[in-house]
Amino acid sequence: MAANNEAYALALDLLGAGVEVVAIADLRADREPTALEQEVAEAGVSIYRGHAIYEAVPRGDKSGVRGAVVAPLDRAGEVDPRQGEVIACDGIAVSVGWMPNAALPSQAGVKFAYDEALGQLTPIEQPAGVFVAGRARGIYDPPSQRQDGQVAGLAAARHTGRYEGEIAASPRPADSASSHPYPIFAHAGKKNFVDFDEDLHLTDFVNAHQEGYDSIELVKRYSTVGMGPSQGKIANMNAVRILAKLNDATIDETGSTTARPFYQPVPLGHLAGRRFHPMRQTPMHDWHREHGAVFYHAGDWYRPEYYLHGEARRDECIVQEAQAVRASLGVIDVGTLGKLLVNGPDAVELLERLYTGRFKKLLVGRYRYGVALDESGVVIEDGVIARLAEDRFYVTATSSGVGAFYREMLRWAAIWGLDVTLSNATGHLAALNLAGPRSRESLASLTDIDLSPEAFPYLGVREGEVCGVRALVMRVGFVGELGYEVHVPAWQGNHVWSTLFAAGAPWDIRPFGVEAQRLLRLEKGHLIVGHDTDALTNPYEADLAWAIGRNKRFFIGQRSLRIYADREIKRRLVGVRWPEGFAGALPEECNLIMRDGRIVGRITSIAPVSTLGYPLGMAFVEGDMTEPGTRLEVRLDDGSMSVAEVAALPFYDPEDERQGL
Amino acid sequence: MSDTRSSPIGSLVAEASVGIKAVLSHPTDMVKLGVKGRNLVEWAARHDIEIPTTLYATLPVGRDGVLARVGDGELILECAIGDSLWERFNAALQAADTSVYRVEQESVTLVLRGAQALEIFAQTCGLDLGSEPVDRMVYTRVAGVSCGILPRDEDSQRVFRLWVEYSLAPYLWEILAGITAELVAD
Repeated sequence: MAANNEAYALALDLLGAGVEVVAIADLRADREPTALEQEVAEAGVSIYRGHAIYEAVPRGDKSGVRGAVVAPLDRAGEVDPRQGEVIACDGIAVSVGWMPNAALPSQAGVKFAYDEALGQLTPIEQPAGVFVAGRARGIYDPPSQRQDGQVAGLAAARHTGRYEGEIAASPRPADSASSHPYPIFAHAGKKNFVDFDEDLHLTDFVNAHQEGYDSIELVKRYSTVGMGPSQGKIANMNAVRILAKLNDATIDETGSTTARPFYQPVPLGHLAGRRFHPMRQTPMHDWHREHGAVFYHAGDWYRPEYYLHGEARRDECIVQEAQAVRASLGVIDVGTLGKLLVNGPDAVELLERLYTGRFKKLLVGRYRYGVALDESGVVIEDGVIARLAEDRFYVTATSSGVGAFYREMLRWAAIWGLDVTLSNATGHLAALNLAGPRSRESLASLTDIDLSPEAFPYLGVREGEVCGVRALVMRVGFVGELGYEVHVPAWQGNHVWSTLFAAGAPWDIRPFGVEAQRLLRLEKGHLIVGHDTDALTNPYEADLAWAIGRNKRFFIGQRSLRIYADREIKRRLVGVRWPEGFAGALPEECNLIMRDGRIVGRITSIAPVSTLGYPLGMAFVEGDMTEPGTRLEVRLDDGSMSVAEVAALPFYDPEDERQGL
Repeated sequence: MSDTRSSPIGSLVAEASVGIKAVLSHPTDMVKLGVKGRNLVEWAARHDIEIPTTLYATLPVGRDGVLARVGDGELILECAIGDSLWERFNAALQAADTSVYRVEQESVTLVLRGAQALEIFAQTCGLDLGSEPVDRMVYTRVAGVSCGILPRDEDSQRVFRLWVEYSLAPYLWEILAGITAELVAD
């Protein structure tokens, strides 16, 4: 389908490449054919002037096109499908208009207006020092484009004082439009794409207009037109044309959307290439699969959600796995955990500035929990910071957040000019957590590290060998039991996992998945950043004030925290529980907590079944509802209410006695 | 050490046809080591280790190994298990010297060779790797994942050595093997 000379040039290129071009439907009628058109016609291509393609006819298996319905346009520019003709073909190409690059000059302050004759926006006002050339000015033939570029280049050189000679006049824009004023044709009942990125149809714009979205900025936000990878290069001008028609307004009266950085070319791969969806596997992936793991997607990772066990149902498997950890021994693959190496003379300085806590006095061989904030004081990341030497730290971060956090580390280290060496080791290391009261016994014979409580206390970190492999071991308590997190090179992860698992047989070791881990940490009252916190949560709301170092000179978010500290805390994260043996309907995560018909909180985590015999969870509630025993009414999806009460955290082992084992 | 190592794509490679393996292969007899630090050049000189002088340049190590300069202050060594350079690097890293640090480097190596290699890259990578000089590292994305690629000439044939993160190796193998199968079938 054509509305400009470029379509005919393409047809000749295709013919030259051996492609059979059957026909061209040209939206334009009553005009003298150009030399290119005559050449195409002489090559035997049928040209349907004043016609449009009304419909692409799919193959039976929808794998491609088998024909095109070509129909004449009436005087109003509407298609008359009754006079349509099916032309057999296996491909359709369209060249009905251009969207010259106005985004960059717009961002530089150039003002554009719609040129009816050209069917496109052209510059009407340019700030000093900005020069526009080429199609953005309506110049389409290559000799004129070269001349136009030369004029703009010389003008730029003169503006910078590097050229003082004469400059020829700019070439005039083309006499005829290369863009059709309205290449959009309604189709009764069929797909009628306007924005291929966002799958938006003509009817979506009509519906948006009927809903009252009659300005282009509102239509953009309502429909998401132009928000895909092509940044509106294909759809935006047509969206403006459609809205102008619906409003019975001109293009200039309708306006255009604001072009914002970053402006990027459209990768050809987005239009026609293969689609790639990378997924990551931990080194123990095959072992998990062979042992009945049910996987789920955790960001771009495959993680075992739980392991099938006989005929047990999902929730039974999860609780059994958790009970095994509480009673004896379990092991979980935590290889997706973010793992960062922070080395160098300024390593501790960087960590002091990135995290709320203090690390200058952290002893070698010990680690501390760390919370990182953004400038507005919102919790963005957490993990542990382990000191391996005076100038060497091993830092963990959330699985989903480590990529962004590592980039922030690099950025701040560069801005502050710190002498640090950073490395993201996430995919290079395997990691597992051997947890349960029997974990020390099961690990002891497989490592050269002294695991005795005196030599290796809770919150300790050691480097040594595990199963004959170079390893870093941390004594952890995320799930509320004695536990050791073992980090080893990825190529040796499967060997270490398999060996540890075999060695745990005397204690009925059981692999546990993410769901059991979530339950166990919930019982222990440990939050998950990004799950129990949201994009507005500050440390006071999340009960993390204890992790803020007092009298620190600086850390990111400190200034905002000082403001929060003087304000009333409007919501807090609390424990929520139901009675023992409760069998009624329970809420989902994100269900709302109501009081007198008003929203006063929401559930952030929920465990319908726990090792403690009652359902429990975490929730944000208003500041005056945090007292244990406070009655909470949670609205379920069906509108009914579930009654719970606030509970003190942690639910399990509040005195940390399990770490004294 | 070798009996404790497991390739993440061992089973996938074993299942691949001879035709695929003629184009796409996965050497497992090599290990990698990363070092990084601001004073890399001085550190290497102090320990009498020759390193590539420019960014992305490489030096051959043993039969198929390589020492690549992947940053101003960063090297990756890929060599056979037991290579003397491996031992020298480890010894240098053990020395009381705080300027350069060991960096975990457990990426997986894939090798593409033959006439189909460039066709596979044409479908998966935005760079024209055929025009890249040999023996210089290229960092780009292949099938949506970050890779280091080393073009080489071996037996009058252009060979591309890809380094991909361990966790992404199964995904990348499946994509590349799938495209290779289509090309081999053609």
